[in-house]
Amino acid sequence: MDQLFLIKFLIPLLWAIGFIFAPKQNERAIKLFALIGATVVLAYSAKMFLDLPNPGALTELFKFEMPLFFNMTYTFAMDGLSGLLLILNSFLLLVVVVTTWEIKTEKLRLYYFLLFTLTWAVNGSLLATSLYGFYIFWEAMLIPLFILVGVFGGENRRYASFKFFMMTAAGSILMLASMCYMSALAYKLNGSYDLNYEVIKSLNLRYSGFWSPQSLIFWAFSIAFFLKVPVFPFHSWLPDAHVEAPTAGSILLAGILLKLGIYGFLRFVIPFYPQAVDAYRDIVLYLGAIGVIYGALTAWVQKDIKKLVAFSSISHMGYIIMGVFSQNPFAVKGAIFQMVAHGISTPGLFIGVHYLYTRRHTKKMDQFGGLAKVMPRFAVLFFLITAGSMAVPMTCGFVGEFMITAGVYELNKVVAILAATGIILSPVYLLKMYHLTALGEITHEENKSLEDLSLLEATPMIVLSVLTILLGLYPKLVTAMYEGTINFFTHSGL
Amino acid sequence: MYENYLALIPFFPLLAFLLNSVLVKNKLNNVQAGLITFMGLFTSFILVILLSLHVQESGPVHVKLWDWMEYKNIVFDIHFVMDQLSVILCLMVTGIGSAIAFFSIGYMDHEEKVGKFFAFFALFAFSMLLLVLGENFLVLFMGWEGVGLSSYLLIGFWYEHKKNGDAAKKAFLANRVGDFGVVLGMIGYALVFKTLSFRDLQHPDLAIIAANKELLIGSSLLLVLGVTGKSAQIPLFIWLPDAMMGPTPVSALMHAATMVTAGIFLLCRVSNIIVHFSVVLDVIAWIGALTSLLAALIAITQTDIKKILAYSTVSQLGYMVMACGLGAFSTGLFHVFTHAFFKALLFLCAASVIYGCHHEQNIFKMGGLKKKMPVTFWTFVVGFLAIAGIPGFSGFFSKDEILSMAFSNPGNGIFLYVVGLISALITAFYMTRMLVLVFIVEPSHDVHDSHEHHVKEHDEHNSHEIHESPSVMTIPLVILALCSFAAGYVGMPHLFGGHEYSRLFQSFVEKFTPAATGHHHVSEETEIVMMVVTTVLILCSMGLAYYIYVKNDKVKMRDRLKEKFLSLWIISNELFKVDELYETVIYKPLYKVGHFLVDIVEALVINGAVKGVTKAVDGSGKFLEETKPEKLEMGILYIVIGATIIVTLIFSEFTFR
Repeated sequence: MDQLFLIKFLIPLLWAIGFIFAPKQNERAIKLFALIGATVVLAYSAKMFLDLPNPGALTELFKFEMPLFFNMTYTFAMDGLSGLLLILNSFLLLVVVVTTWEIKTEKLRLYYFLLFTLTWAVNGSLLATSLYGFYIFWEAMLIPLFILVGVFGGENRRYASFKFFMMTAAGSILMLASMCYMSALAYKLNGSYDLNYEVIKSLNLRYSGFWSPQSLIFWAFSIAFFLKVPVFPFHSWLPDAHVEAPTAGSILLAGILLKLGIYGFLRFVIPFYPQAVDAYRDIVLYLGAIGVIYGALTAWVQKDIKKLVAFSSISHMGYIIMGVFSQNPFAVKGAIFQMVAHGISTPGLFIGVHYLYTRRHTKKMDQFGGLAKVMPRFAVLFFLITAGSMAVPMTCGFVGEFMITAGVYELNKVVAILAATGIILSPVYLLKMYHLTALGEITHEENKSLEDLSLLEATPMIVLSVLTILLGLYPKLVTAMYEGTINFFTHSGL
Repeated sequence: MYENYLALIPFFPLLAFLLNSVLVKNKLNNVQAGLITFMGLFTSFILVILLSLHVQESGPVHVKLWDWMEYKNIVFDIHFVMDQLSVILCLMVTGIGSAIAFFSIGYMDHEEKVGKFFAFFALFAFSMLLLVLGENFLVLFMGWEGVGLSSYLLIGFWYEHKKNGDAAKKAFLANRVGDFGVVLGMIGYALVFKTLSFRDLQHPDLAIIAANKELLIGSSLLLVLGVTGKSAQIPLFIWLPDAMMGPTPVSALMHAATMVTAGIFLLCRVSNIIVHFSVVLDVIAWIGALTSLLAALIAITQTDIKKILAYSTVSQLGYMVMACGLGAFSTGLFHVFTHAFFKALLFLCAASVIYGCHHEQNIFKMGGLKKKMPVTFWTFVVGFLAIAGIPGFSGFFSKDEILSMAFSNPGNGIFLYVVGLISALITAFYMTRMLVLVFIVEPSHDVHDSHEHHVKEHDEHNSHEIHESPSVMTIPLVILALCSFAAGYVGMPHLFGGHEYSRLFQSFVEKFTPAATGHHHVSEETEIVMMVVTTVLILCSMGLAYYIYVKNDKVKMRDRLKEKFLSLWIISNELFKVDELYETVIYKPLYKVGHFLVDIVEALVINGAVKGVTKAVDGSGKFLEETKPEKLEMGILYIVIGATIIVTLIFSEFTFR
């Protein structure tokens, strides 16, 4: 038990509250405060991970008991997987703060308040191991993002934020319903409604066909997580949300929030419902493979660059869900790696889009072209990140896709071959994007005088590009962090 | 010590890349940038020579850098090996690469962004070295895609023109289709053999092969798909002619001498496995033979000097692939070796011509360069004689051995022989045509092209003086010409070399690849007769081309030829449009599918479902709202009923549990 846990854990929230009291006029001070805050959060996340005695097992960090409230306890624990995602989350917060350093808005304090509360909520759901705690943070994540999109978003932001909120919340309702059921069951067994990790394990839900409790609860959880990931065909909120969201929203959404769905599967579904996972594995594998192809083909025909990246996320997340459900250790390992890789490359793409947007106030690709001439620094960095996204070997994108394809191939060749078409399709849309923006002649007069990235603007892209190459060459930097946990997530006997 | 040398071989080009791209860019002039890349390659070349002597004496050298990933017992490591196969390719990449880098210093003299060019050049060399030095499939694949990527960058070097960008994209996509095959094939092999190391795959367990026959055949065919992508075979050869959009030295290096041979290299790497499957071998042989014929046919009517050479490359690659399909991997690699010299030479001569003619690429607008560019002319003649297969020059030895392998192959070898012979004759024909039109016939200025719109028009330059290239360009030409002449003597047939000096190259390679087996024995008399017949036929073909293109006035001749050989002309011109076929049959329909998915599925079905649910919720809300004034309790009743049902379900579950 870590005595200082509460303080470490509450840092992002405290920082967020700090913004309420910040002087409104002094923008520079507010921004500096945010930068320091993000750095501190990242440092503490890293420290929390490094302090873990054994990243391979769940280490309990804090237990919050509430005897007066149905004897509930909230447990916070951490293993390599949650540590990795915790660091990714804090890292992305820092990236967002640096990327949007030049942001011009009246509501600067609100902006940072939302970013820090969002980070805090994500951290909370990554660390909570009692199902109720997880659920509270899971729902809490929605609110800052909802406001972020709704206040700072594009023209159609109301529609997008409501759609995103309602669809995710609808999934959560299913999750809540099954939690009620499980609580009732737990009360019968233990005399407490508490749904601690050990308690869930001990429930041993019965499985006998679709209408049995294990299967129904599996589907309730799965649909909640499918909606979050999102897995085809539950993705309809994602393109709208991405298009309307401000850059900060897009980066955090693609970078970490989508991964929470996968994390949910790994933490709360795979270990507890083994028979159901086995029984419905093929369905999910096919959904994943279809998602890979569907996302790629739909990304290809987009005219809006942000929408293209959004659909490419669906394609990439298809790989991850396949990896998780293949229950092959290699593929699961690859899937977790792919979460990180996607958390590097897609935010990178959104950052590139952000710089284009701040210069030209449009996201239509045909408004650009030939930018390599006027913005060479941008062109190079954007290309490196694009290469990472289309899984060129020696970049991080390749590692995960290769491992997942290999693992799935062992299990189900048809699905693996379907998914491997992503190798062909990903450059089709990504190169289209790159060629339309960076290459060719400059066809629009306005583009001739665009400024190249300043050093400050380039910094996040440089960092992400370096990570792209580094992790592609030496993936063990990341896999070593969660290696020990894999057995736990490939529970169902393969 | 040798291990360190080995690790340093790819390092120097990488260093050159980093220097030119990041560390000292913008601070160098064009010559310095070029020298960095040249030195990087040349240093590696010296190391390769040192290592090759060592390998010949005491076998392969290994160096393992770090573990990349592991799965069960399979270790994926970053591991280099210098063995009998990689020695040859390394010598080619670094040796010919240095010559071309040196040449480029002159060729790129007046260009902008030369630092970028030499950075990409070095990156390419680095990737190619990864490919050939990789001890396992993973490192090979890193290099494999690396060369695809760097070739994409170099083809699109002048990215301002949209068609260059499109050509680059096309090359990358065609290569990616192949990579799809390589990834799956590689995974298939890994699952069967539990290893990806070539050392282990060199001596595969026959019992394992027999037990996993189907999976292995499938995986091997997938690898062949990769070969067709990288080595520009049917059905994926369409990218190579378009790849000529890049700077010409690049075409010499990648699209002729090194990158495109990666496919043959891959076949040699897995030769000890695929040799067990006659189906796979047949597929390979026929792909090679047909590609060789098809590309030769297309080359006849091309007018762009680089495209002719590009199609001739495709055709020659077909030869190599056919040799592999005949089980004669060492012979295929021998042709890779000789071809690398003479094709690099021919391309550099073309570059020199283009440089001298101020970026004119249409052979009908050239002519009479024999006197104006003597060095280029005579070196070109050497390359020409080599590719045509005139005895004594390198191409003769390798081509002849492939043909005799086909001839002596049981089964349908004789058909392959005929196809191979025909494409050899056509090769002699179109190469003569090119030689004559570019160097010998006097130029005629009143040529009006109607259909070759893909050729750069630079009419204003014609008034400039055409001159011989500077010596920085001609020195590499002379060196390559010497090699093009001499390279064949390391692999002479028994007929000439006796037992001591014959097939040195092949027996060296056969320490890794299986030796060709199952061929009829061909007596020496037959062999001599075949050689003579082939040579005579080739001379006839050259004579025919000479007669047509020298004795006839250029302008009228084309019309007359069209009349006489109308059908052949049409075929040749239409075959050229295979890529348009792909575009209409695959690319555009797929794009339409994308549109269908977005406009119909996404908009109506997926969003429709969401809207439907929303409407349903909305409707039930309205219903309750409407009933509220009269019977509030009704609403409550519904809720209670619903809750009761749920609770009952939950608790009945417990009771019957």
